[in-house]
Amino acid sequence: MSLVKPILRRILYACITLLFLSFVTFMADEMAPGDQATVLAGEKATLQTVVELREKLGLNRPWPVRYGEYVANAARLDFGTSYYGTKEPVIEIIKRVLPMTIRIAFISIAVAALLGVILGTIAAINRDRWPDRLVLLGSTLGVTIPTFVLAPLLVLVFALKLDRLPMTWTTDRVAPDFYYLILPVVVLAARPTAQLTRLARASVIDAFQQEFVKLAVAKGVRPFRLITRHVLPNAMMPVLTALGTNFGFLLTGSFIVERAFLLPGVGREAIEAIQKGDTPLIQATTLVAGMLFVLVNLAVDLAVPVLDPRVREAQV
Amino acid sequence: MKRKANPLLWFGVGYLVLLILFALVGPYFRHHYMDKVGLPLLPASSQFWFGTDDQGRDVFARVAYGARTSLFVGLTVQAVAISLGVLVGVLGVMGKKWIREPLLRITDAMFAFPDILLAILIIGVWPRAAENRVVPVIIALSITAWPGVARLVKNQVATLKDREFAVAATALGASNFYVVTRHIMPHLTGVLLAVGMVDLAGIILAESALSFLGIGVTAPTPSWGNMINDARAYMSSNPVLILWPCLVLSLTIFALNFVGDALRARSDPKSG
Repeated sequence: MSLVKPILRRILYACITLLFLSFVTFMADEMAPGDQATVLAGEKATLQTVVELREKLGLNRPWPVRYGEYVANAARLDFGTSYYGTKEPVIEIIKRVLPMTIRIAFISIAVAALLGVILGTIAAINRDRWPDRLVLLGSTLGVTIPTFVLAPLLVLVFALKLDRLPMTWTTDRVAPDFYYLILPVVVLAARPTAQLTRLARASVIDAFQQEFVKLAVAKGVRPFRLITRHVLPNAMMPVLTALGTNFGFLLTGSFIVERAFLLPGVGREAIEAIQKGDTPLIQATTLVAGMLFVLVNLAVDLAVPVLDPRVREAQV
Repeated sequence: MKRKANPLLWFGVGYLVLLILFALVGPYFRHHYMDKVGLPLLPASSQFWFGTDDQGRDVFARVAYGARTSLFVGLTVQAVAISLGVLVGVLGVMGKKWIREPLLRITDAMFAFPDILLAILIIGVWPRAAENRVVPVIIALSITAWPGVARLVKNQVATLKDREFAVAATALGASNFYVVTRHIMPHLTGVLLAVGMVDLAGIILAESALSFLGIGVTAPTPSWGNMINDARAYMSSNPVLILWPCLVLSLTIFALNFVGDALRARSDPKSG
């Protein structure tokens, strides 16, 4: 199979990115004020105790050795233990909060992709008429309005004025989860939807100029079939590629949405860790969020040649 | 081709001029931004144009100080990012191979994961002593902002250096330094200005987002982000409080984008 080599190369590239990310998180800890020893020894500890503890924990070994150990541990999902609270292993905290982030991120990206394609196609078909202008205006708003402005505004309207939706996530939920996730998902999906709409519009317009679409029109293919069979499969490739970058915006947005709606996710945990100065947890949350981003981009890059024969041939 | 007057550009420019004035005099115009000057949560009146916040401080003065925070952080970060980006971008094309390769690798690596993660990491490990966190925010955002500029400059320089005027200057014996500063950079100023405006919007947004999250500029120093976050607690009783910073911030982002896009259309006739 001729596809094996580029796929392997792409996977190797993802691994290098992850290594780089782990190096950055490791160095961040190196530069942080205090280390594990000072925290474990407590505030009243003498310098003597701290030095002994450092010796015992192996913190005085050169950093390349400790970095190797850090990577080896991270590969086994051992991110150390939290500095504060019950000194829980960090991986347990991650296991608790990751599902929420994954849930809202993937629902939002799915919503954004679906809506973006539909709205973009509608706009492209009605190019320069009112539906097109309306969609373009909406997408301009969607791209420029900040997530942390949109979140309180929607809460204000839908939760406080209309009293239709809950303000935040709570532990004593009375309705199904999805009811509490409507507002967070709408806020989170807004920007990617707007971006993908613009892109889908441009690429559908582009597809209409292609010879095979003109031929299909000349043959008298009915409009619906023309769009679904001839235009969309070709117009979808740039949208698919853009899913990766948009997932990055979405990850940024998830930090804000999780705080605004009190959702127990990776982003909220990361912010709390920063406020407490819980370095292992800061490292692990950024590493996990970065991993999610790298993996989604890897998946997108692998899916493109599988779905698009032109790319497949170009890569051989 | 005739140049059309662009109303959005002039709206944007007008708004930005007002915003700068607002940032300069607003914090002390009628009331000092830190003083408790009235009862808490007063509605807008002739004395307090935007009302008062939960501690009885003048919201008008605080939003104005927020403008100052945003513009100060934004412009500082942009100055660092553009200097560093131009340096790396130019060296990435004109430098010797041993300096070019690592610079380009580092630039590419910076795009490998979302900016916010890096910003969070930098702020997360910053010594707690920093009182209002303006410095770590500026450093974190500068580090995340330069690669974009570097990539743009690199691509531009790569095409410009093969244009006739640059080749001619080199043939006449001009040094690389002379060619870059006298022949290539003047072509870049237009694009950099246009992109700089749009990027400035992005930086102001990022600063507000970090402040909203509680890890950027922290109270009592006002920033639009932390004002929005603080006002959320009073949303049911006093929704107007949250609207002021939201409104000014959103208008700022719109204005910067309008001006940036209009400038880009002017500096590059093809994209207009």
